[in-house]
Amino acid sequence: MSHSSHFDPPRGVFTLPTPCELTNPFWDVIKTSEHFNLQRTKASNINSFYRGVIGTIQNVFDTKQPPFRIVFRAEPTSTSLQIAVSQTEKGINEAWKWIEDSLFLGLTKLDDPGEKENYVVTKINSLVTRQDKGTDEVSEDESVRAASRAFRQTFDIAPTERLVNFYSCAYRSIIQELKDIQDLLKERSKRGMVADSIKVITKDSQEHFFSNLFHRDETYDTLMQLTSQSMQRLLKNAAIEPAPGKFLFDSSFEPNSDKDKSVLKFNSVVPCSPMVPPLKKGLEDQKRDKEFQLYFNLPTTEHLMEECSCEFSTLEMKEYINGKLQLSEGYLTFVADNAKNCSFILPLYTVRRVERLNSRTNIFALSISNWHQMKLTLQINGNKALCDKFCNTLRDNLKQQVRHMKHLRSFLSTCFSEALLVDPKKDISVGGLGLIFGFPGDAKKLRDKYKTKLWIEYLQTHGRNLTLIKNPYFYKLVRVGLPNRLRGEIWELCSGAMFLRFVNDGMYEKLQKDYAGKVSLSTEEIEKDLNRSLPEYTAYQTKEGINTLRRVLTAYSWKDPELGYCQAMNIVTSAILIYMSEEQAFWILSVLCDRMLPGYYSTSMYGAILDQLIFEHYVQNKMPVLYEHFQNVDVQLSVAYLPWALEYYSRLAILKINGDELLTITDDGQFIHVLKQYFGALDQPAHPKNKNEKTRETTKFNELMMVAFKEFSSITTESVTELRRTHQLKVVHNIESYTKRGQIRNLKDTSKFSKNDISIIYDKYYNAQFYGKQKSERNDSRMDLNTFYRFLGNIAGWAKLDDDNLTKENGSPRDNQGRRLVGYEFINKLFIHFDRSTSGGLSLQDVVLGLGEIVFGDLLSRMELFFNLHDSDKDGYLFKEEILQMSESFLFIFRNRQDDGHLGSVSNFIKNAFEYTESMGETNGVPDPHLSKTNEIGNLLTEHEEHNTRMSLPSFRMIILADGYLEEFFDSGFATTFQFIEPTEERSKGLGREIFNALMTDGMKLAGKFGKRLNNARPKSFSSPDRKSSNSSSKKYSMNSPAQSTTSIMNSNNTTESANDNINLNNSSSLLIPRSNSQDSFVSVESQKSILKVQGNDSPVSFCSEEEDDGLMQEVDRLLSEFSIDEADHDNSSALSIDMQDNTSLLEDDDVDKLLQDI
Amino acid sequence: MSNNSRQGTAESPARAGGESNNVPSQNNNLKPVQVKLVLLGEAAVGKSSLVLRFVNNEFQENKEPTIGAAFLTQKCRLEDKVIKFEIWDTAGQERFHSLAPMYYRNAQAAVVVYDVTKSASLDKAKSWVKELQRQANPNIVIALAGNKIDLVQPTEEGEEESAESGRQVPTDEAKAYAMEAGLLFFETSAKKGDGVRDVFTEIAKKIPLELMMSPRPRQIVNGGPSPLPGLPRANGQNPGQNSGCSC
Repeated sequence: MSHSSHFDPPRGVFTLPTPCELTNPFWDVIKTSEHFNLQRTKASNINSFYRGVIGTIQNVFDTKQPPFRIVFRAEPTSTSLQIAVSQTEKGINEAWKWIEDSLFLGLTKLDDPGEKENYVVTKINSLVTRQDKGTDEVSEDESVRAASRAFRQTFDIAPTERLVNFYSCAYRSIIQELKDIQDLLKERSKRGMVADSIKVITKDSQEHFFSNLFHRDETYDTLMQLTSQSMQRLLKNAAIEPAPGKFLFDSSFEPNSDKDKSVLKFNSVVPCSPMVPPLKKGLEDQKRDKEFQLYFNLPTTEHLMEECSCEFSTLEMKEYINGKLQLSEGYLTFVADNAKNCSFILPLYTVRRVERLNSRTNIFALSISNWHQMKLTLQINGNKALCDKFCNTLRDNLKQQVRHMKHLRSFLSTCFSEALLVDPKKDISVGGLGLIFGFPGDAKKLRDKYKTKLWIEYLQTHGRNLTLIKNPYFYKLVRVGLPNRLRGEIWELCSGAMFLRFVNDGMYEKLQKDYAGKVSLSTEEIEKDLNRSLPEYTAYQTKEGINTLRRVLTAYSWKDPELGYCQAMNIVTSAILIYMSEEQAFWILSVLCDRMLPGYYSTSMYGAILDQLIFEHYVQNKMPVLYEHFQNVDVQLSVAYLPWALEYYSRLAILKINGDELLTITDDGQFIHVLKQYFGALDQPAHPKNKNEKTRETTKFNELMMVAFKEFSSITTESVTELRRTHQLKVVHNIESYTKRGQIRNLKDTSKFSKNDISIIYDKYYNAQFYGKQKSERNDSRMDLNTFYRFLGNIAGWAKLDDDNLTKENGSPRDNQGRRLVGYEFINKLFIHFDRSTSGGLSLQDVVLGLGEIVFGDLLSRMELFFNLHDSDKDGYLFKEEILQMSESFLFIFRNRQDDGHLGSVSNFIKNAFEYTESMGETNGVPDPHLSKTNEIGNLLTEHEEHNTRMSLPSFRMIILADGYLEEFFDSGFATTFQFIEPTEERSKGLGREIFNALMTDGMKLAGKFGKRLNNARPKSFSSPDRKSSNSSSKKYSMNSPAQSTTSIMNSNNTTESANDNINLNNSSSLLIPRSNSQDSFVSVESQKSILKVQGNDSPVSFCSEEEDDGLMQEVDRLLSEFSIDEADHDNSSALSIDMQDNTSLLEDDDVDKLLQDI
Repeated sequence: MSNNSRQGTAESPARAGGESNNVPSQNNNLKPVQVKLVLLGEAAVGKSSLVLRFVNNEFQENKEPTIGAAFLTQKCRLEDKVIKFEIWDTAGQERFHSLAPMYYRNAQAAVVVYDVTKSASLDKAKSWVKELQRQANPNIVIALAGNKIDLVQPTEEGEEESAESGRQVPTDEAKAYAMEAGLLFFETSAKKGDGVRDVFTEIAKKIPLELMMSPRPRQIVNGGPSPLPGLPRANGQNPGQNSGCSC
């Protein structure tokens, strides 16, 4: 902004200007100025009865208003605008102050009231949008904005999480991760006046009731949808090993494969992409689109755009059929009111001509002709506006589809029906292996020729392949049976695979080409099974057949590497390949895995498990006696389940028919036995002794079908889908817990952790992974650095980093940035240390061992760990900059402690460390027995070294042990910061923050007196952000190359040359991991930078800043720099050190005082 | 598709019961002791073939992979007792792993199979053993079987070296592991039939049959693993839906 404001506007207070009543009985005016009023609700200070009433009203209307607001008074004629609200008086006062500072001047320059209003509105708007980018506060609905703000203030939550919608309900604040929800139930609550509630059961089987006033069903649906989404994500995460279909050797290939992936993902049906804005509106659309796609088997790229009722007819049809016309990007669909009566899916790229028929009044009709001149007439029921809208969209979409039309000709040449219609006698080579190796069954007996004739008749009048219209006769023909050569095409058409094949023209070949010769876990599994797929069919005894099968299966495993290859796919594929070409089979397989059997073939097989659960549910409901018997004798229905991939109703019918016998069984084996016998006798008469000859002719199979259709017809796709949704949560959590048990069991070393601790570590590990990998593909099951921050923050309080500035009331972001970076630095070191295999990622085992080392170590081992962490070049000595880093790490870890002790101790630590290193021999320090000992050791160690600014492990130990506070820290304090407690308890909001604030106030007291003055004396370069890159590059040389360090001095515009070396190092160390020679450090720096970028803040890296809060940090920072100055430049009495001496007289604090005197 | 019929044929001799060549017909009147046995191991190591050899005494060159699991029974005679093996032959691919608890639940015996020509399959076998020892019936008898030794047996004198080089798991190594983990150990060839019968008879000998002479050996309902993920044993898990039933 060009406008200069003296301080940054407070965050989270301003709102988009909203009209409001200026004089409202509920508001008191506190402050007023020429244009603005600061108001407070009466509710906050009036009697409790009144407050109750107002509170209730607000609750009922979902308009909870914060108690303070600022209103812009436009001229009397227009309404007033509310521009800021706050929960606290402090917050609103800040906003007030900012307005006074920034807006008053501008306002006085304007005369026209309208301009004034414009000015305010623009200002506030730009401010709010800038501050709240990416959150819901920019939403149009004020109440959503308010709720979102409250949401963020109440819950400590990552900024990627967004408020979807809010409902007032009777429950105290609770934060529940969707992924932990196991069961959602609508319940009738018995408590109070509220009739309905939603029951949420979490995976640790806690139950929560949410009583909601009005919107229960809506809330339920939304919750359901959201949980399903997070389940999908969870499923991806639950699998342990990397995607089986990924390359085994992919390091060299990485960039390429990413590109491929974006192409490949184009049409896959993974529904977990939309992490962008799952706002309520978006969710509704998403749900509608999904239903639409599912109903017509359309690709997932299609969205429902227009919908209207219409009457449909063709030239051949005698009557008009009423139905629903729907339009998406690429398809026009129609389904009659009685769905079986008539339906079609017309791809727009097959349309050649659309005419608007001359119509009488109030009738709008379209005539559509497709490429083979079939004319469809559509009469749209509705007014002119609706009709126009529909036509416009249709026209636009048609234009978009023109590009696909050129594929049409080549595509049609792969459709057998075309050849069939043009010249039935002509032998074309389109089709499956059956053309060469023969089709199973006797064609004569199956009356293949006759069936073909019937089909030709149908296709001639009802469209073919892409343009087919389905009417009852079509279904009849299907039931009679498909001719062998047409079979593939009809399968393809009915499954919707044909549309996928059309729009993804060439993809199959591309997969073949791109992945030629590549190997993955899946391809290896496929090789094992190639010879075991329908081995009795002659084609699969030849090389040709096997190669065909291999090509299709491997192509699919590359297309969906997360699924890869599942046994059984080979059998399905080998069967369909008899009837269709490789490409056709490939797309049918896709539809099968993605849509028809979702999750069946996935690595966790959750689809199969889910279906078993639903099956059990049906058995329980429909055949309670049998179900109870199974329960009593402990027979698992599921054992018999997998091999029979049948419709639910057939399965139920089987149980029903064999019910009597099944009631006598007592174990799983007998159960299977009964069923097998039944299957073996399916072709035998069901009632051989019946007198009626007709009845005697019915086989058991006929009987089965009859029972299935008669008794269980209530089981529809819809009800199954619904059940899937409700059971899904349970299944996913059970899979998760199974995976968890397996994972924990497979840990080679549990490092003395108790079972419970391990379980919590596991939870937190995968929790962090879950949120860390929302967007990325699952290609590496290891934890990366970013996720590690989150993970550690969940375990150790000090490692909890402020993820965002959104909840900050008055914090100065720069200040926080500075501290955070030091934190990152220390955690980076831990990460590298934990990563034993230097693979750039942490496995669960790494994490367990790493934590174990800290928690179950002892005083000495922990000191050593700390030493090694900071000994970045692993030479066994800490050099100056490493010592400074260590002190920063201490401060970082201690920052949440309330006592002042750690300040002194850290100061002491720095002092002692440097004193010893610099003053070797001339012990002018405090005559401390420990210290002198240290010196002796140090002398020995450093004798042969030119540099005397280094510290060995033994001397480090001495220094630590000399300080009670630090000793305690290493003895027990550090280990106890790692807490393994259940996540829900620990997530209570803001406690750490309060402590932190308290600490800050203390720090202010301590340092306030000299801190500010010091700022003036401080070298300005400290806060120049562009310096850091130059420093980080020069840093690793600076110890041994003075020339290099001079460069950095130049870059940093520093005036006190001699002091620079160390100051720079100190500052830049917060950014760079100083392991100069290892590649790891660069990787880490990369990721760190990206963090910085994400947070969009280029603020300086060091502790220092002008803010008051920083006093504490400044103090230590100053100490650090002082030492360096002193050390590097004893004689030069620079302006800086003079300033320091001035300050000493102001100090009261013992430690600091002494410290400074020593200098 | 053909899977079902396949299982049907495999079952048939078992249904024929006493006619199986293992059991002399005069023992038909003896009450057989049921032993639930589960086969586990990596994909394509020959689990199904092993069972097929044991049950039908036949071998199929290109056996279709097992989906889920197959169930077969076979009776055999041990001294004066008749044992009826109820064999659960599981699918080997890793993703079927999560279904396994359903099959090894309450099992009294397990055969963990690996392929002597693939060292990775022994690793997988070890992890199965680990899982069984922690999750399955605590008294379960586990046998480790290294299959496909026909591939590494010298067929002709001259070919000895090249044939032996196909072996990736030395007998000693696997044997040592089996000793350490307390498993029965065999090397088998389902193709030729070597060692297959031994696996089952040794298991039969080791199972404490006396304890199970009672017709329903269901002593370890609670000791077994929780069943398949996703399938809570319905009692009490769905409050309000089914309150009457309790086991």
